[in-house]
Amino acid sequence: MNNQSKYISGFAAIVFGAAVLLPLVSLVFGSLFVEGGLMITNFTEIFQQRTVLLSILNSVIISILASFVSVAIGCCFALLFTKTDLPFRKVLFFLLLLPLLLPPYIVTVAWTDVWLFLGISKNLVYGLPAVVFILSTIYVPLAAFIISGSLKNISASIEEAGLMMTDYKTLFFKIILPLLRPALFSSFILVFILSVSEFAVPAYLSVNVFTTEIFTQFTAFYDYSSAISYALILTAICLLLILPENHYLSKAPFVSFGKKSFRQLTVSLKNKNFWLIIGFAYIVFVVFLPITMLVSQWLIGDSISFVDIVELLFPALKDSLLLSVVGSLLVTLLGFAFALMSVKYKTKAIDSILLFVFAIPAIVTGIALVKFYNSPMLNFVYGTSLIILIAFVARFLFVSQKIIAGGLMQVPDSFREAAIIMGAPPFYTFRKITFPLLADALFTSFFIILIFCVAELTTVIMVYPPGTSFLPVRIFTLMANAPQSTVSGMCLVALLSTLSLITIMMGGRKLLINQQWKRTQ
Amino acid sequence: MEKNPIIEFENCTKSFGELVVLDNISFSVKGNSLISVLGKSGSGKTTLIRLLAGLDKLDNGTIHINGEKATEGNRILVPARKRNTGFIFQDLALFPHFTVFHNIAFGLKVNKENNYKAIVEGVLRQFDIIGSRDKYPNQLSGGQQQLVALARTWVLKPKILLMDEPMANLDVKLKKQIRLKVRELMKQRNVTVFYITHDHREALELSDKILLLNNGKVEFYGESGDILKSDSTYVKEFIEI
Ligand SMILES: Nc1ncnc2c1ncn2[C@@H]1O[C@H](COP(=O)(O)OP(=O)(O)O)[C@@H](O)[C@H]1O
Ligand SMILES: [Mg+2]
Repeated sequence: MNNQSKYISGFAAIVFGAAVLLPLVSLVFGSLFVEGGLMITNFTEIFQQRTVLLSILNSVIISILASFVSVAIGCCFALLFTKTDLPFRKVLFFLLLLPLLLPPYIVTVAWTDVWLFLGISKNLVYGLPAVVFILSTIYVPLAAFIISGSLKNISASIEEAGLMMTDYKTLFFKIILPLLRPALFSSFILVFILSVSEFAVPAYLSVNVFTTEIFTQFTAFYDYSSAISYALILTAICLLLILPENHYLSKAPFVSFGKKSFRQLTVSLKNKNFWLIIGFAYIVFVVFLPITMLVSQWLIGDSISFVDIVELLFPALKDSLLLSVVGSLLVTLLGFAFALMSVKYKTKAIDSILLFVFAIPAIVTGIALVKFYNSPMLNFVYGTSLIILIAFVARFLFVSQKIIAGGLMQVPDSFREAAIIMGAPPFYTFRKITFPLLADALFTSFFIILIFCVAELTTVIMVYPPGTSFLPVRIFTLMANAPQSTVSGMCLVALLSTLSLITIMMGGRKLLINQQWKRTQ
Repeated sequence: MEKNPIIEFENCTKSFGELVVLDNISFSVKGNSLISVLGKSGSGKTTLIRLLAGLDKLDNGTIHINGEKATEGNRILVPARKRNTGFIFQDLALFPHFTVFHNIAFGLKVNKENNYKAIVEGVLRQFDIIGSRDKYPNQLSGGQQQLVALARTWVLKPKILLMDEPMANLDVKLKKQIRLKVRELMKQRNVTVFYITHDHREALELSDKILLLNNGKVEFYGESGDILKSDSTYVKEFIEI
């Protein structure tokens, strides 16, 4: 490893440490130790308040149910789409993953459209089961994705060796399932953490959970000390849950590049058509039905035309896109530096730190950033878009680093060494060999983080400076007073912009990578 | 010790953490010979040639190349790119995003060789891979990939060629072909070759000298014919006599 990459990594570590870690750490230690006495009374008070207790209970129930459902269904789809010879399984799997890229608040509005259209009672729509249902539809793909990755890592030779001795059913329960256990467990915990931290879905459905309680205390009652003690409890829950699986989760490959390292065994399905219909029906039901309903609800509503909505949202749309592009570039650059650190220097602590930061609920990150930067000296951050960029880094650096580290592992040291022996200087080697081979991963990171940034509501709603308008925040604030059809229309605009981003990026990626390879030779 | 050696290892020690891979070894090599490096897996064969290439540092000792001090302890005095060595990695390290032509041209372009096009065309013919000129490495057979890797170092006219088990997964016939190629090239240009293999029959057939590593030490180093006469039990076991 040469000096340049040492400087890059060192610089990135300092930026991340100062801008993100410091606020988070100072939230925890600042309130635990400096105002120690006060906090302890606060904690005891919390458990005497019925509404707060109820909100915690709601959060836990919702998260447990959503995790169970997501992992169970996700596991079935992972098996169906990776272990069988189902026709169209690649396309179906891609469609299944689509909801991961859709902002949760849009999914929520779409489903309420469906339910209100079907005439389901408002008590049921605006209630706990609805939150569980929506969270499950969002996180089934995540669980399926993680479990499928783990399935792909089971080499055919293991299964074949097993099949010499026993039938497939025994093999499945004795070999495959045990090998899947870490993935099942990890996806359960990940979905739990994401559900317990989710803000937009319960907030829109007016279900009182822990995150909405924190939000109310913080923004409506300005009761910072209560908000912070709630936030710490929530953080503690998440971090404690992640601790046992830290090792597995921080190393789990999120996106793998290049050729698969193992040969795979697929099961031949007997009634392919039946399973094809099941898979297809699920996707239609979960992905296309709500979106169609979004369109029709907006069309049915007598109010507002598409042009009007676009006009209403245009400034926010523009700002969102710009900030997200800058944010995603920044996150990807830092992700690259941190990937270098973890892959080339093998600093294990990096993966764990990033995982912990990622596991901290968005609402808590928001509070930490506001508390830390809301001071006269740091106003150049708090009063500007800089704080939104910092929020993006805090939220998404983990994901970017994972994607890029995965790519970096595909570039063996021998490539770089071969170039150096042939006389190439380090930077030239980076430019001609490492970088082009990494382009796929860098682009994927940029693309996925961009989509995440555009959809991010929770932290941005906490930190956004006056004068900036961010699309999800704008829609969320307008939602309260707008008729349902206008809300649907707004979500449709947001959805269309997300979808066109996805399309542009996927097309751009193919082009870029072909070009890149030709040019570097 | 050889007279006017081209390569000289003097009391060289190399360890990774607690593990001592090479323990105070010394030997020297005169020019224009083909040396097979033998040893069990993990015995330090790759480490040895990486040290020679200047890719790794020593803990202790010196390596002389052409009478010049190249590595002294943990200091690299002559950097890898100035050692005039060619290295064929076990995984070949062909750049997957370059065509065969550009893989071979890479080193020439880096070294500002303006006439690189003609030189590459020449070597493509010489190695009989002109038909693969515009293919990518993953479109080639295993044997063709070997030839490209060989050609890629060959155009840079190395004085020392280091090959790390380059033929591990080739069939016998192809192996023989490439082996002959290496010998032919070597004699053409007075090159010294270090050739790692785990197959002692191959070593006996191909090489002038054999260097057998065991447990951090040089167990045998000498004319390849002489290894059959060795009375060390380890050597006997290793070559199955
Ligand atoms: N970069 C490294 N870090 C730690 N250990 C290493 C490294 N490179 C090699 N080793 C260890 O040194 C020993 C010798 O390795 P190597 O020279 O590759 O053996 P061989 O090529 O003979 O199979 C092995 O036990 C290997 O695990
Ligand atoms: Mg080796």
